[in-house]
Amino acid sequence: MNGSDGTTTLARGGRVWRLAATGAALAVLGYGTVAGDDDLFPLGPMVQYAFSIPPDGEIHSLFLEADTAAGARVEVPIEPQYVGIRRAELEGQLGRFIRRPELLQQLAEAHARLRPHDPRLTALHVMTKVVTLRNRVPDRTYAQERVSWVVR
Amino acid sequence: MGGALTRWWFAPADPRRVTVLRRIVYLFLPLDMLLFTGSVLGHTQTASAYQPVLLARLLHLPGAGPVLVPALFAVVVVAALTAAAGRLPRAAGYTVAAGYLYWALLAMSYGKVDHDHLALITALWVLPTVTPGGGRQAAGWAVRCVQVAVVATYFLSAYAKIRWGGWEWPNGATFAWAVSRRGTFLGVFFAGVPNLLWFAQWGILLAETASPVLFLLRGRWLYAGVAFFLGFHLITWATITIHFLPHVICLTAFLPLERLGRRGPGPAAARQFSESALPL
Repeated sequence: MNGSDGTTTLARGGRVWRLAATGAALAVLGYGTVAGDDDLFPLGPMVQYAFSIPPDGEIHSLFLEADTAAGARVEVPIEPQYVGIRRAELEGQLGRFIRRPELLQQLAEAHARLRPHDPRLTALHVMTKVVTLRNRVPDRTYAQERVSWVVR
Repeated sequence: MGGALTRWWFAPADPRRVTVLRRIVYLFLPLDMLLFTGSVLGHTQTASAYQPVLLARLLHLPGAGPVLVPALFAVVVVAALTAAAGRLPRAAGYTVAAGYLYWALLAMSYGKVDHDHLALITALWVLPTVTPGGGRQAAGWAVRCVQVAVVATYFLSAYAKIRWGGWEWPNGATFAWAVSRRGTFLGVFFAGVPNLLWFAQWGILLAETASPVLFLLRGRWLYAGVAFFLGFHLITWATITIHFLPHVICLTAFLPLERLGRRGPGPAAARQFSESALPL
């Protein structure tokens, strides 16, 4: 079986560096898992859906509303092809955007470049949809404005 | 001890499994860059949202720019297609590994890190280590690394759920949260079945914890184990549009891919296969 597949065994040096690389990667991944956070990507903890929501807790999700030059208030999807950023990314940086609302200017500019045929956005309102749960089942829904910005 | 460890990490594998895995991974990559990490294209519009993760800071990597992103895309795709064709496995392979890692860092440095890329990035770094005629141990190590990354993604996410969510995680409402935010028609339907999402949380936590069993399974049981996790990803895709495809394609490292493309394996080939010590 060896003939057509070349040599079967690796030279000692080949085994040593492979084990060393494996060990180093696993060590960082282990540290990331036990003590690290997302900053260690790609070797951080696997935190997808790792947070707990109490059975009577609240579900928060962001959405973006905008006033347009046409005088309407519309919902703008928080997607890269609309405003250059994903919803989860805006959520991950929400504190930063609340402290510095002027960062929203770039979202409006991205929208103008990415959707040139849509009406211009004159003001952005970052909203949170809050769903309250009762025994893991949605009970009540309402919206809250988190930060807004008048487009320059 | 050292002997057993070495035997496990270097359990010989058919180099043809790596050949097939290479084709799957490299041909998948352009799709991933357009569909799953395609936010990088949008990030060229939002420079102020660049919040580089540690590795990007250490390497002083610039954020997504209107020249950089198309250039990086072109380099990675050309190198990936070259490597998929079996040409320059080392040079093209490492170019893809480094270029795609930069791409992934750009995708994850704007406020949200995804966790479905560990196995894919691992595969990209180990595949170029297997050269034509490189031998069955070299192939075995590469296959093993991808398998370990796949299982680590499951097992460590079970650990993370307890670390971040606490022991109350399986009794919480995390799946209701997921369906509320991004549920499909099917997801909303399942959410309406009393307690189904609650039981599903227990099921997933237990399955992720048990995932290292994949290393112990052989033959039909291994296929069943792989099929179980494929089914899990299919359901999360159908209910909350989370597909984990970059990870799913790496699940195939558990399968005897070397049998693909072999025309009608005769009894001799089948016997040879059953006698080999593949890390199935």
